[in-house]
Formats: sequence, C-alpha cells, structure tokens
Amino acid sequence: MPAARSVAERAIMRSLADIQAAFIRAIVADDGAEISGIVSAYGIAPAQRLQIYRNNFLISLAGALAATFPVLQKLVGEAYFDRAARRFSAEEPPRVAMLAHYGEAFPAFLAGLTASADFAYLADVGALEWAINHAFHADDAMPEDAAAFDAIPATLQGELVLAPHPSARLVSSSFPVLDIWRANQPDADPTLTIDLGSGGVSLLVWRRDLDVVWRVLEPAEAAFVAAILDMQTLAQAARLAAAQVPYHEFDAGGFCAELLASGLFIGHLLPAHS
Amino acid sequence: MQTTYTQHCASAPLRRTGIGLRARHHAEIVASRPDVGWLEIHGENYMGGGPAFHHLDAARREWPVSLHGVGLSLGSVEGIDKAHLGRLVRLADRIEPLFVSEHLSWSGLPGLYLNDLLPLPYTEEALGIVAENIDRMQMELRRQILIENPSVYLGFSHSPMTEPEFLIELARRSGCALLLDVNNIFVSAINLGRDPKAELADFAGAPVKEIHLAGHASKDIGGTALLIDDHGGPVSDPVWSLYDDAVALFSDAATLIEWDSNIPELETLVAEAARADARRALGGREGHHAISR
Repeated sequence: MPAARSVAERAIMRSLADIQAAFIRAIVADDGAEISGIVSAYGIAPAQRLQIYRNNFLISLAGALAATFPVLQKLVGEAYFDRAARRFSAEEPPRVAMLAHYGEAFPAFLAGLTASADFAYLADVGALEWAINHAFHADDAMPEDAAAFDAIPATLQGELVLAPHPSARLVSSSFPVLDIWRANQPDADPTLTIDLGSGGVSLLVWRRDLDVVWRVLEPAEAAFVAAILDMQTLAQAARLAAAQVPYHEFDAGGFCAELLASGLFIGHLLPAHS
Repeated sequence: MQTTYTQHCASAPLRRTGIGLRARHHAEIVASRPDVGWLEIHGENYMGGGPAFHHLDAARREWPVSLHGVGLSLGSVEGIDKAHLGRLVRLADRIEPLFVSEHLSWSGLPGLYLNDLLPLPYTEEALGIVAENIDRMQMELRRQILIENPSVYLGFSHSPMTEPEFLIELARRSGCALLLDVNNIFVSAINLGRDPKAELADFAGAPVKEIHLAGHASKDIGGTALLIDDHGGPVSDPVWSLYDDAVALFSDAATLIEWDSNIPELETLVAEAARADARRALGGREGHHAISR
C-alpha cells in the first residue's frame, strides 16, 4: 500500500463524530477545509455546496433576531443590524432548538460593537424588546386569586414568598427606553425626537391572558418588584422598597394587592417553620 | 386545564389534503374555517404558552393536527437533547396529534443548534445512531413516528447506501413509518445529479403514511442550477408530476402543503391544497394517461 493515501481514502475512515465536528466548523467558523475532502462535487464545488449551509445558518438566525428586535433593527438600520446579527450568530449560536428563546445576549453584543458610549442605550432598548418577546412566548400559568391570600394570617404575610407569573420581567434603564420603543413602532409619528438624557424608567412587563402588558414603576416599586422576582419574602421586598423613599411611606400591602389583581402571581410559599 | 378534542380516527386514510399552520394565519383560519383536511404545525413554535398555543388549541378543535418536529436532531452522534424531547412529549400530550414526525438529518449537538436540517452520510454507523435515537423518541412518546427524507445540497463521497435504501432499512429496524417529501426528493435528486422519478420509484413498498409538497427556488452557481428548498412558492410542475407517481405508490398516505417563507394569503394555500386533492382524485394516473395516448 502506498505511504500517501488519497484524501478520499482517509475520509472513508472518518467516524460520524468527526464528520459532524468538521461540518460544524464549516458552518459556524467558515472553515470547510476538512469536510470538503469527503463532499462529492457533481458539477458544483464542495466549498460552494457548504456555503449554502453556512448561508442558511446565518440568514435564518439573523432573520430570527430581526423578528425579535424590530426596534433595534430600525434604530441601527437594516444593513448594520444584519451584519451584527450574523456576527452574533457565528459567535453565540443557539443552544436550544426554539428560536423564540434565541438572542437574549444580542442587545448587549450590539451595543458593545462600538466603543462609543452613545450606543449604550441600545442594550436597554433591546432588553425591553427581549422582555416583550419573553412575555409573549412564556408558559401559560393560572394567576392566583386574592382569596388565596386572604386565608393567610396577617402575622405570617411578611414571610410569604410569591411565585411570579413565568412571563414577568423587570426592565430598568437610565434611558427613556419606553419612549424610544414607542417612537419606533410602525404607526409612530416619524418626526418625533427623543432626548436620550431625559431620564430613565423601570418597567414591569408580563402577559395577562393573551396580551403582553407593562406598568411603569416608581423607584420604590421597582425595588419591590426586583426583590419579588428574586423570590425574597414580602417583608424583605418591603424593606428594600422603603429604602428607596426614606422620607415617605411605601404602601407595600397596597402595591402588592394591585400586582395580585393584575395577574402577576401564580402561587405562594410559606416558610417551613410557620 | 384539560381540553377535550373531537376524536379523529388516525387509521382512516386522510383523503383531503392538509396545510401547514403558520402564525400569520392563526386568527384567520379559526374564523374562516377553510375547507382543508387537516393541519400540521412545527412543534418548536408551540412549546411555550400565550397566543401561539391558544390559537393552536382553537384550531385543534376543528381539525386533526399533525406534530412535525424540526429541531430534535435525530442524526446527532451524541444523542438527542433530553429536555427538547421532553418538550415535544409534553406538546404531544397536550394536542393529541394525528402524526408525530421528524427528519432524517441532524442540527448540531446537544447544546448547539444550527437551525438547519443537515445531511448525513448513509452508512451503517449513521443507520445505527439514527435508529437508536428514533427508538428513544418512540419510547418517550409511546407511539410510532414518521421520518422525512431531507432536501440536501451535498452528498458524501462515502455513502454506501442510497437514501431510499437507508430509510427503508431504518423503518424496518426502528419500526418508524416514513414521511415522503416529494419536493425534497426532487431537490435532492437534481442537486446530486440523480433522476427524481427513479429515486421515488425506489421507495416502492416503504411504509409511507404522509406526503409533503412545497415549492423550491433555484440558484445559479457558476452556470449550474442548485435547487434551494425554501418552501417559498407554489409547487413546481415537475414536483406535481412526481406527486402523481407518489399517490399511485402510496394511495393511503395523507398529503400536506407546506409554505414557510413569503407566506401567502390563506386562500392561496387552500387553493394549493385543492389542487393536490384534484390530482389525487385522478389516482395519480395523469402521467399514465399521457403515456397511453
């Protein structure tokens, strides 16, 4: 047997594991050198055939990101968005086979592509779009009704941990992201301008029945919601909220009742010792 | 919340053509109740809750629904993603599908999803791996699944088996049935320099329970046409002709029209399904008449 075997002969010995690893390199890293050796040509070069798969990968994922982040796409322009989305797809490909779950890290990636702090707001606008996307697709869950809480003795209520609806997300930004989001909806007034320095906003985004809804939160309310979503007790959440407004009283009970009536909670836990 | 659906008898041949249910038509399809035989969904789009599942649930009350998976990656050498299989089983439990189907392909590795149906070499090793993954899928679902022939843009120089040989043997070993995508047969055969009619004829006797029809695009690469399975237009004439052959071979298989990009008005999709019904009513004999004349 000659010492130097042909490419095809060596290729025959490849396992499926080797083939799939080499195919992944061709698609994700645009390195098809190895896999080309075992691809048949039939009139079109192996590299060009592999390019079809790489294009499908990049174009379909960039399309999925554009569907999730239409406002970001509008803000940076289609061409720039597409380049950034393809780069993101190659660097951070999806981990699960559900495109609605793909792209949480994209807004920060997009904002980080330029050293300029002028684009920092993109990360937060994208976080709002992600929260809306998440709320739309989140699992269904039956909200708990107020009667379930009324049965809990008042002395124990501070120790309660509330289970939030799976759709709920808190978005806090030092930029006016809700105004930016609204101004970039298809039916918005195109002459509208927004001052990036006009102040931040905190938003609670969730799904109520079939609709994605949000509520603008005061700083104390935002601190309360952040603690609740972090599965802290009602007493802890109330303390964190009160710390935001040292000269006022924060009505944790009233605020919590409003959230409950808005379908934000799906259950509660009492500490084991009670 | 337990939904009670009208029971549809999956063993009766579905004589009427179905259409793929896509988000664009969600509200309209339930409101207008078009005259189609059944619906098929991409399972990955309905694994959460909210409006998507709500619309599916409403449609499921009107039609039998088939669950078509695009992301399980049955050809993965490292096995299939347990969590993803769990989501598929949960969805199947929720909608009681007519069929559950997946592809003869792979899409990455556990923890890496490339959002495509990638080709496999048709080797004994690949056959063993796919059969094992199908076995796991069927065990978890507690039912038979259908496996679809993929569209491919390349072939491997060391594929000792043809695609029909591979799929027929796969069905024999695993007990799965087949979903014959006639457009994919055409696209793959042209792309790999084979005869689509001969390729289809090689499936004779296979356990085909469902047939897919879709449109494809053509891309010029240095003077040679490469067909792209984009599901973005009407079924092409040569694929209709191939469908006649398929109906003659598999008269009990249910037919579905897929349209996934440049998705048209619902009525266009319904008209395409009616066209398949009309061809099927001729028993796939159209081509034979032409020859005898």
